[in-house]
Amino acid sequence: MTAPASQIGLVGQSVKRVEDPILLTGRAKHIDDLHFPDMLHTAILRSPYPHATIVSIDASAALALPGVVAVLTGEELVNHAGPSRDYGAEWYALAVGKVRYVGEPVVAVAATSRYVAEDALDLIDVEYDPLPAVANARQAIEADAPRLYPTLDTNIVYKKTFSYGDPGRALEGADLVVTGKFRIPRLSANPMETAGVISQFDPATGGATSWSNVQAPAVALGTLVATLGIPMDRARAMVQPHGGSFGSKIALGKFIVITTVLSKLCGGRPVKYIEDRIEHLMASGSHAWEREYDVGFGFDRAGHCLGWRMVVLSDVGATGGPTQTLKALTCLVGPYRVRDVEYDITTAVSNKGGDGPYRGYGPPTHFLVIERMMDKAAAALGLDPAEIRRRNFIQPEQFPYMQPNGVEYDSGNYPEVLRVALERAGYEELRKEQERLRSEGRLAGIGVAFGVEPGGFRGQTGPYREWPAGGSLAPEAATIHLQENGDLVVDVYFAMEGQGHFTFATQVVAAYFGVPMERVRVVSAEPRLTTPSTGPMGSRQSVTLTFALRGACDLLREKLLALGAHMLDLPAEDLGIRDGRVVPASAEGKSLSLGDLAAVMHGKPADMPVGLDLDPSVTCSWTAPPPEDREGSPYLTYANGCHVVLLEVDRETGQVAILKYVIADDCGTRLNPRVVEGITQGGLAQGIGFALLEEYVYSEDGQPLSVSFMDYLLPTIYEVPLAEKAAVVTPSPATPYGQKGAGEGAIHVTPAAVFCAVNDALAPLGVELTQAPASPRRIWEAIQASPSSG
Amino acid sequence: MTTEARPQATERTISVVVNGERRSATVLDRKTLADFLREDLELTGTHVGCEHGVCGACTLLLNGRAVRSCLLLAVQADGQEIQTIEGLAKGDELHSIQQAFWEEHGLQCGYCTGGIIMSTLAMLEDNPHPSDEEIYEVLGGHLCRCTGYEDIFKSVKRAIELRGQGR
Ligand code: FES
Ligand code: FES
Repeated sequence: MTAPASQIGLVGQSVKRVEDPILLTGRAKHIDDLHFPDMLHTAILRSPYPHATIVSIDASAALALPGVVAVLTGEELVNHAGPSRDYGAEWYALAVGKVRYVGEPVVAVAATSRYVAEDALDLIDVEYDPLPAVANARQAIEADAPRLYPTLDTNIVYKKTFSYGDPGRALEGADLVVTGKFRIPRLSANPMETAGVISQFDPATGGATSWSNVQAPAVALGTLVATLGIPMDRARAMVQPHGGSFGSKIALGKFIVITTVLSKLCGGRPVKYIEDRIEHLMASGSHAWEREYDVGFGFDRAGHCLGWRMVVLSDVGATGGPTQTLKALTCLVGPYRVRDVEYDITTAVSNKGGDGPYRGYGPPTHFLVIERMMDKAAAALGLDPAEIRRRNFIQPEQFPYMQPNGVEYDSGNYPEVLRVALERAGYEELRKEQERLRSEGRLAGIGVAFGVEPGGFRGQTGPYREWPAGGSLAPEAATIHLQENGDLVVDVYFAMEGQGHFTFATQVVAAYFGVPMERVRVVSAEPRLTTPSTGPMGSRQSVTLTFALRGACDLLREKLLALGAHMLDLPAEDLGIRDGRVVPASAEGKSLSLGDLAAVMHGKPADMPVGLDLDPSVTCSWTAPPPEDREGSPYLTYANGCHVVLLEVDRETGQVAILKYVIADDCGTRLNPRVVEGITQGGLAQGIGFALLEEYVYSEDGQPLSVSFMDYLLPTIYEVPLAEKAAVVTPSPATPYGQKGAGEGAIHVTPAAVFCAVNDALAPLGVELTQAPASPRRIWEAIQASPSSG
Repeated sequence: MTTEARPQATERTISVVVNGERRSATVLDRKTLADFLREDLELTGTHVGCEHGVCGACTLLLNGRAVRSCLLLAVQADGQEIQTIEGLAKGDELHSIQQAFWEEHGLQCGYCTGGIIMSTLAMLEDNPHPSDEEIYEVLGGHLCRCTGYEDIFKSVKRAIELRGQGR
């Protein structure tokens, strides 16, 4: 499994990114930068009601507007497309019969420009009959709550208790039981580029092509085939570079469906739809993590955690299932040696925008709760927060570590990561500084939080068997073409997205063949159903793409050696590849450059060897073996990190100022350390948004109130600390370079660290904050409620 | 290029100098400057992130001043000089600010980057030696969802250095 030293070269070096020149010069073609001849533009009329019956739609005036080519309603759409289904709920890309959230697409217009298409929306008359709305999960689960779906006789789409060991006995036997209730708001990824699609139906063949910024191309192909009925051999999904995704663009199903059907109605003209920011904030279908937690944790007197019970009620809006809540099962006990654990999930639908993936896919809230409970126990037992964690860590010699639910962690050294974080933070000094500030009457708090990061997603195995599509694996593919001049072109089957995938792919391939990076070019190729590949998700590409790349390298190497053997008249076993040449193991005698071999593979000279496979292109579609036992982990690697933060809460305004922030993390070997650091800092920023700012607020009757960047606050440079970062490297035994997935690490821990620190700051006042985000208003209200603020 | 089919919509002919080149076009009165550049002039390096003036992705220079092109109409730019991200590099040679962002990993997806570079350019033209606070003030007007700003800040510092070396 481990890569030989000769192939490591550039891997692990902070080379400059190969993606950057085209991005820096404004020449990258994002989806909205494409203009096709005859292209039409879509605008979507959306529901103003959270829940209503559609009585009638009159679009005749819109259709009569010059420039409007087609108007599509749900009633027409069902003649061309099937529904989406999730856990018993069923819906279409355009509302059919009723609407279930404000912002739900109702009518789509295709016109010669977006301006005209939007004019047309004003001319559409929709009559609604409002229905009582379900504002949240609490209401949704009441026996007499209005129902969202006729296909379900309840609003509960998923309910299950996962229990391991004997949590009841563990809590009964505990010296200390701490309890807590938490409320997590809905938030979302909000990449700077919104979703966008261009689709073109081909009336001649019945095929269809969509260009989009979809994150997982296989999902786009699946939509064309399964939802639109496009024959497999004629479904094409092209991907453009993304302006970020973080999960939000994994599936763009409804937009692909709407534009493809419109294209069909318009005789095959290409049809573009670009979501605008207000639409994105209101109804992207990627809102995430609105949950209530009710938990109890048991400890012995020495601070050892004996077990816990977590009850989670999650609100997934009108469309969504429990998957982001289920992910906690893959990192159930966090970094702690706890064996008796219960995790009880109820997932309900409500009349709000739908739920979708956001970086981390759920565990950030899980760790916020665990870490806060650790702090509460530490306070009750008179232990330092760092010490209680130390006492509970899984120990380095226990890896691979089997969690109580059969999900295995590959590797780690948690005490060392904690030690490094505390050392870098100057923890003792920090506590003194806190004392000093407190003695001046200031509210200073310290947070020390830890989290693990499932990475290298291999498919819907283990706990993900609970998914409707559970049981499938997630292959990743790469193709290498040896050009006639001996340079290498590497096809990957997903879009350029920001995480530096193309750069590390270049590093891996260049190092394997011992050529300079300039001789390797990575491009985003057309994803094909016949080349199974998944794309980035679940912090997988540094692991899964690397396996695919090395698999393709191996295939090419084999061909090169066979051909080299023929040309040098030596046995292939005696040959190797070094510095871009096929060389005899003895390093003596004649050798051949990649160019020499390429020329033969490309048909020159004429005396080609007969019987050898000379195709200069090789493809490896790599699939991780499924975990051995049924429960096993859907993730191949587990990175981990510790954050230490010192912050101050302003007594008068409730505002938080971060004074120091330190991150130590261990994602094994870093393929490109600078890229990893950048991604860590970016995840930290999103975690800060979660902890302090971001929240989709709805009115009591289900109207979204956070529909602009003036209401939904993304962190700016003023809110995000420039964190000091330290690396601990515990190589993963599961990967060629010892690397681990690293894309989601920081967002797993930042919310917990900041939330713990805010509560530490408020502790002297005897008040506790249990709701995120820790906004000035919430903090101020907590301060006002303090017995000491009277 | 998008055809405008609405007969009652009013339009007029404007003339602007974009990246040193004079361009004339007939545009709808209501068309934003960002849409005009992206659709009519096919200069798609100016990105649109929010269309309500908050994110800064659409920033370009109008007569040397950083402005948000989603908040301006094309007709407001009539007779004026525009600089966009496409005008910075000379062929394959990056502008020193671009070079600095490359060296310091100042971008991930790169969607916000053009706007930030244009703001940086406006700042440095005005004030070649900004303090950290002044840099924060400029970057504080931009949203980036990928980088957490650290490497952007370092890139700007590096750009100042490169500029000081006459690059
Ligand atoms: S697009 Fe202009 S400020 Fe966001
Ligand atoms: S680099 Fe992606 S938004 Fe800034």
